[in-house]
Amino acid sequence: MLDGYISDLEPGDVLRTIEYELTDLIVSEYAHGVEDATEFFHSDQTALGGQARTPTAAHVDKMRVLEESCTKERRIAGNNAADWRIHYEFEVENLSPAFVGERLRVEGRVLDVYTKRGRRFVHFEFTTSTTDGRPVSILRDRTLLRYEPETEGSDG
Amino acid sequence: MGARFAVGDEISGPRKSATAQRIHWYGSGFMTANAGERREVITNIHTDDAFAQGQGLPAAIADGMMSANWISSMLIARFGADYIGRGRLRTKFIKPIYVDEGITPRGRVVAADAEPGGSVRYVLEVWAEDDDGVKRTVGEFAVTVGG
Repeated sequence: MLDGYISDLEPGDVLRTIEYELTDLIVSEYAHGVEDATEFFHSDQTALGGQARTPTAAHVDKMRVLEESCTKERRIAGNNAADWRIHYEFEVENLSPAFVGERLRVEGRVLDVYTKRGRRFVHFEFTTSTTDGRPVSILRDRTLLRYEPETEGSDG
Repeated sequence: MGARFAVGDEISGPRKSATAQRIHWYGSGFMTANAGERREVITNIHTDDAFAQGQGLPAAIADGMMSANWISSMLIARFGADYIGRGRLRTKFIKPIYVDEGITPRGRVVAADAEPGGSVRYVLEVWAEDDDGVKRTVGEFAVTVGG
């Protein structure tokens, strides 16, 4: 279910598609945040022919889609849920570099919601392309909805 | 970059301590990338022991994407543009990393298959381990180089 909390999402939910422009601030500040000083991420004077985002930056695409799809839990806007999520698995397949100045489109969906050892997980998929149609990345991501196990009635 | 590897070859990146400052850098960089304007990380399970304990954790933990990115940087140093353009990385955060713990990213080549056109498809087991050699993050990397 959209427009609630992330914990309200259900298998098969199609998340809201977003678009945004990849700026040098977005690219370089994420690279700074992960302490990667490789020139690819800080300048357009590279062998790639432009300033590219890090190959892990699809993680940002995920957060942007969730921000628009789960409107009771918009962390970037400062609206948190009671339970803090724990990232469990990150899998990115890069299909082409994404460069500063390009406009990106991100589509997302919920592959599964399941309980394992009393803990609830969400399995997402996010597909990113440029708005002119070039595939950029596919992200599959598993997130634990709360650290503490459910105490009663869990099916895992 | 442009390096050639054989099955069994091992690589590693620099050991880093998951300091509170590094956690702050990551959180703020992530917030900024999401907002599209400069932001600072907010109080959460990564920055505040009391907040983390309120969520059932023993203490604040590093964001999982920190070790994922330390692994990723190790791979960028070896596979460069090939990774950015067509690499696949999977990381699973199997044990928490607490503030000030030392972490070293490592990898081992498990496949190096020649493909038509002169390219090579590499598959690596990758992980991030603590100072006792205990794996905290595990995963796999695959990339096609050359051709």
